[in-house]
Amino acid sequence: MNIGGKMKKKRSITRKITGLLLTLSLSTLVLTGAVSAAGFYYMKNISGHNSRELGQSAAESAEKALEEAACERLRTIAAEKALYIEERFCEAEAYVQGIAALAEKIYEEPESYPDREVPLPIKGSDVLAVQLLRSENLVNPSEEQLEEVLKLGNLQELLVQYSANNEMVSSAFLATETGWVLVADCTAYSKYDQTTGALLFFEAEDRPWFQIAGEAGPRETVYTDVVKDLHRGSDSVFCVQPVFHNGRRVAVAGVNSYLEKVQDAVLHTSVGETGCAFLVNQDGQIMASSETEGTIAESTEKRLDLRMSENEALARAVKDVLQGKTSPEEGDPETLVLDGKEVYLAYAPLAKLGWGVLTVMDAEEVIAPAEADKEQILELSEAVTQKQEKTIRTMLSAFAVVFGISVLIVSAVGMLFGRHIAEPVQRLTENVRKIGEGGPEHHIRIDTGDEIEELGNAFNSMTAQMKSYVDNLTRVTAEKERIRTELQLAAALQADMLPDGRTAFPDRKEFTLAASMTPAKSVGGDFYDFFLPDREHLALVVADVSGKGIPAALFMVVAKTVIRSHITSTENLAEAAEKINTLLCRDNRSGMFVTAWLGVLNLADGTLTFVNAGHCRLLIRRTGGRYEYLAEPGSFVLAGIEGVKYRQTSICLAPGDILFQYTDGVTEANDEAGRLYGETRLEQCLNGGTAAAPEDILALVWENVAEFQGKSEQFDDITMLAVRYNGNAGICYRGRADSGKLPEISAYLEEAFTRHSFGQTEIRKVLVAADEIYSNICRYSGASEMTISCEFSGPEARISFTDNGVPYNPLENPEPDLNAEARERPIGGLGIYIVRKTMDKVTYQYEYAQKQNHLIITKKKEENYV
Amino acid sequence: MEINREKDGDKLILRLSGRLDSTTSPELSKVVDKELGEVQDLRLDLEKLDYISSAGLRVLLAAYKKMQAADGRMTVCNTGENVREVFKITGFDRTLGLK
Repeated sequence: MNIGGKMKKKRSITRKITGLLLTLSLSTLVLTGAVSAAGFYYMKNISGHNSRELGQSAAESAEKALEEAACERLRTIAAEKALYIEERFCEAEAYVQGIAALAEKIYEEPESYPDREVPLPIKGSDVLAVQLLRSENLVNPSEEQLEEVLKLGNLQELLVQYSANNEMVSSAFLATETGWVLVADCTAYSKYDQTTGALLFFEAEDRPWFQIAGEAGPRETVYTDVVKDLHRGSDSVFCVQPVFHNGRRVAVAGVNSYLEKVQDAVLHTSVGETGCAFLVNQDGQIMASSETEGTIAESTEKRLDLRMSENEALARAVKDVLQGKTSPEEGDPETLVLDGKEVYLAYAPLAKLGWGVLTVMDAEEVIAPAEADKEQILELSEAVTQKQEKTIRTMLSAFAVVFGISVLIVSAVGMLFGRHIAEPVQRLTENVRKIGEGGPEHHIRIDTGDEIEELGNAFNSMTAQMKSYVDNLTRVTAEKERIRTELQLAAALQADMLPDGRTAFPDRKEFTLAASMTPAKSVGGDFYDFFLPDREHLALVVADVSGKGIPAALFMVVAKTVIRSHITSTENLAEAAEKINTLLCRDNRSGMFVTAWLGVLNLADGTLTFVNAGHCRLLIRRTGGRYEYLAEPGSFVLAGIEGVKYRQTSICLAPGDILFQYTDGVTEANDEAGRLYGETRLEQCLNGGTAAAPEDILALVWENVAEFQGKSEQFDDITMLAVRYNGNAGICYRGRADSGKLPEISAYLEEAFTRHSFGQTEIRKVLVAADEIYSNICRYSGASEMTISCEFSGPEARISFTDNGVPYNPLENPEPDLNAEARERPIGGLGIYIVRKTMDKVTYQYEYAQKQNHLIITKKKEENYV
Repeated sequence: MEINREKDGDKLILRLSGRLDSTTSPELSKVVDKELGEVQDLRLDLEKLDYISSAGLRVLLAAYKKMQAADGRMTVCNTGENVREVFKITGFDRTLGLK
């Protein structure tokens, strides 16, 4: 571990603790803060909402209350105005009735009343006074007529009084059918012609009020339409009542009321700031209005009938009031749109006149205070909301500050705490690292008194154990390594001791063989051997020393050496076995023994002589037949008991016969279930394959055994030997290298080449070539032995000459001078030249291992001879 | 190998049959050594000779040299195919003045 890593680890622990603390405390803080803030905001929202609702509701209530109050006021005003006006008219009516009643009484009982003269109007006077006017008919009144006016003169105080008492009354009068008019008013001046100064006649009959009165019944008071006052030109209404005497109307009593007063009452009506009142007569015309503009303003020119107004609500209200209805007190205030404004409306009828008073008030004005209240409430609530928000912000700021401070405090605490924990861990790590670097001698010292100290102690204990273990392991490993190396060397040595069947006898055509030994451990006790005790015999050995491993291997070396040195010929093989047994029995205190199969094959005639010393039975395959175990009695093992007799057996092999010998490592191979491979399986394996070459036979059996073993370990050394006897075919000559054998060799070759359908010409060339090479070897090579063999392969024949003479390559000879004169031509050098010219191929090689010259000539069948 | 001798004064005709090789050439060599003394005209009839190897050639060359030294002459006739080919390969056809 490097320094960087260590630092990283330290930071990591501190950071983790700090992080944990920070996470815990800050998450609590954040959670609390969030909940609080959420609560505040929720509260604020509710409060704001409530304030708005309260404002709205208050405004609505106020509005309603105001509406009701306004409407109440409107109704009251309308009613008051109506009452006031009606009172005025009632007074006038009472006057009229009073005048009429007195006049009636005077007509009935004229004798009861004195004659009283009524003065004429005083010219130019405007003082209230009773005046007598007359119709033109009365220029010369009769006695009766004078009597009538004198008696009626008793009315003059009443008329003046009525006229004076009520400012609304402009005049009180009585007009007789005869044409007299008694009138009390302030306009005496107007009774005279302005220009002539003559007293004007007064024709009452022509007046509308006189006509209306004529239609009225006894004691019935009626009103005229509004008419222009003759004298003042102002609006006035006449209230009249006919006076009957003896069932005949004799006079009309009346009072003229100026409407000014009524109008003033209406005009001076103030309803709030924008409200107004107006008076309509029985025809729906506006008689007076406090409004100066718009629909309900009084018009002097053309008075419209409001009942016909396009404003239906207004028209209905006017109709209602003229029918004597009062605006309803219950229910929603009556509203209508007047000149584009919403107004409240109330009305009250004037029953006597059949008129009505209507009041209107601008709705906006009515509810303005309510709106103002609402605005105020909302402003207040808004102010409260803002205050709350400010409070929340302040709180959040405070929270942020607390948060920051907490981060600092927790970080500091976490760092300190983390370091407190990490420091011993770091020291422990450092110590462990030192152990890793400097070996287990390092001792850890930590005294924190907690688990880390325990961990340190545990490390110390572990270190001590580890040290002891490592020391032990080192020693054992070194020992094992040494043994392993030695075993490897021993294995190599043992392998080198066993000959290689592929390269052992390159020039022996009589047999082919292959052998293998695979030890179960590095070295084994199995071995095989083969060698040529002489030119004619092949010795074969397959043996198995009891046991495995090094002891077996050591004994194997001894056994192999002893066996090789004692097998010499076929005749005395049993005797040789007895000698070998005797030698091996000596100094064999450990009781090792060897099972062995010793065989000697006569290569010339195929006789196989063998001794089976307690070994596996030989498997033999006759040409064209199957592998079979050879039944023979067998003998006791070698090195077992001194002085044992051995029996030798001989069989005769034909060319093509195959021998297979092995050790029990093959038949006792185990599969995974622990079953043995067995002799039967081996026999079946050999017969199941088509392998003919010994090498292939070994591979076949090896693969079959390996497949059978599967994953189980090789139990014993496995040794196999396969030999194929080829017979003596192809050997022309083997023997001493001296001349004189040529006829024999030539005869052999001639017969073989003829048999292989070579032409006479070719055969003769071959014979010449054989003569040349053979005589060369005999004369010049210095060889003691030589072999000539030939083999045929299709149209090609190969003849090989092998000798153990001095290395000599005849192909390196210079070519002879063919054009030299006869006397100059050398005697030698022509032979090999002829060979090269007549043969298709000539090769030479020297086998250093065998110390042999090899010359091979090849001849192909020729069709045309030149 | 068989050697048929026909001697007429200084004229000798040798008729060879069979094989003239390393085994048989010493025989011819002996005959040549023995008979060639006064012979001036040596004729070798090889009609029945199967083949000749370099050993035979050496004997022929030796005889030829001997005849030349004695101012005699040696002729080879009736060579068969095999023998003639060997002569041709080795240049003996020219050396011995074969016809």
